[in-house]
Amino acid sequence: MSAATAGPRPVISGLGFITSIGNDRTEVVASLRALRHGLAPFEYLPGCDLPVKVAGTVKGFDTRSDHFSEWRWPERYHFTRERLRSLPPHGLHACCAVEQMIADARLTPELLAAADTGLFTASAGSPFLQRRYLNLMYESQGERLAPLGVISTISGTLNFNLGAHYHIRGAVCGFNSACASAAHAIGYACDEVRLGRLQRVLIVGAEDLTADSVYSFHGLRALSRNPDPDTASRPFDAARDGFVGTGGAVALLVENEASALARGAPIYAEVRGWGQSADGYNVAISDPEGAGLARAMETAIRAAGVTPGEVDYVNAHATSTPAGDRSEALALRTVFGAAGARPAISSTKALTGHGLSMASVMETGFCALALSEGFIPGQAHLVTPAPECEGLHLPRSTESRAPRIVLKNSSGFGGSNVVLVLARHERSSDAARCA
Amino acid sequence: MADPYPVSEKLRTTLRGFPAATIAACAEFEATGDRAALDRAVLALVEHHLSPPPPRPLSTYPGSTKLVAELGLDSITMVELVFLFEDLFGAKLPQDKLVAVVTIDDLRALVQAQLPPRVAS
Repeated sequence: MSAATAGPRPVISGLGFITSIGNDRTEVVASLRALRHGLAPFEYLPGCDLPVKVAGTVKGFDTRSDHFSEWRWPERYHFTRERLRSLPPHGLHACCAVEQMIADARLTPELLAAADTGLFTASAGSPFLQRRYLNLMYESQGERLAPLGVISTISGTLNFNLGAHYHIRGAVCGFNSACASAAHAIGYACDEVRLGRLQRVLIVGAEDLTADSVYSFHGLRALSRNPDPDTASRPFDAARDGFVGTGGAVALLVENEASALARGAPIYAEVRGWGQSADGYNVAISDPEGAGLARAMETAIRAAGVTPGEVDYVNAHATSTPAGDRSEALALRTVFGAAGARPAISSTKALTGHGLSMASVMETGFCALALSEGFIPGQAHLVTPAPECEGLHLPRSTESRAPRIVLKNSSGFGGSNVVLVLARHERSSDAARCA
Repeated sequence: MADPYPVSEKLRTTLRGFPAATIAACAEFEATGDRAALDRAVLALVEHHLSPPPPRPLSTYPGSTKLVAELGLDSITMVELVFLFEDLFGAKLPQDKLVAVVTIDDLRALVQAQLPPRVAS
């Protein structure tokens, strides 16, 4: 949350995507521009007629098995048994996203292992694999404990696997604020860079798409029961009825601008500032008036040294739940309405589904692409804006104009709110041309 | 050519992702109790867990080859192997005996010695 103008400038200088709307930057840009969603019919529990029938599926991978030997992935990636044995399903996706990001950022093994390179991650772990291993423990009456069961399943699994593989030495840390986790990771990475303690931080978010990780949210009635992939995720729409889950992984590099420039790395965007707040309200439900998120936005805007009127686009957290979207809409009206500002607002979860702790790194990646490629993703699947959205600018289609200042909102269970402020960098267009 | 020994469901499940030759050696031992087949199976299982893979088949290495110092086997992998030996062969490998295992021959001898009586006979 440090001042925008002092010290090193953190920029985003590498991207990697394994998502429901594309498995590389080019595919993702095309999907965002065309508002092409990645949702499909999905059986969380095969053979069961569940009320939740749609998910944001990752194409080109098969990680349904609880044993890595049966996983499949695109040919361009190579894995040894030793590497796979400690990974959860989303760890496979994370490794692929990181490989893309490393190539994109032109990071060498020496730079990865440098004392000023860190790794911050966000993952809920793998309850899917954990169930297998715990069942084994109980069924064997304690005789059988998978040697790497803990490593591959708890929420630090990305830290352990990626930190060891790339010999990260600067810092390794996982963030755990539910659906705001990756935004926290990015925010604190920016602070590390601004303080001069690290030159670069790999940010990685990933999630399993399994009944264990996602269908469990039906216990809260948080998931959409709409069986139509074309309309199941419709943030800010009056007819929304819950979120659609997704998995995969996204990696991005937060780096000191000077370091990125010296290496000739692409610079997609500057991370100008960030802010956070807590609702202090409920374990799972957002403050109905959006007061916490509004404070986080105000803090972030102030920290970035901009005004609400300068914000061109807000990538909303809106997951398509009735309560959450309402809260965010009111927060947006509070911040921008009072200032007489009308930035374009959309939630790209309409296209991807909700990636939980991965969501904010995925969507920050989207914002970086919007800044570098010069477009604003529209609000897909919006037919009838909910009444609480009155006065908000929710473009139904992609706008072909280059935003200069972009906000990325994130909120998580327990009332964690994080807002990142990204800005177009003078080299952003060059990054787009490198694609 | 079909495998000469049937592969049980237990073997198929436990050895998911293992080379066919390893599965075949385990199936042969399961069917016959033959010690030579057990030796081949033990070596094949160890070989599959080595990273990087050895430059030539483990069966060509002398029995005095050290598992950790020369083959690079780590303690986590050793636990994985112990569970496999116990699951596949019924051999109970107690920790106090495992600490004395240094070479390929030590491991082979321990697995042989710890086989349950039914198989050993």
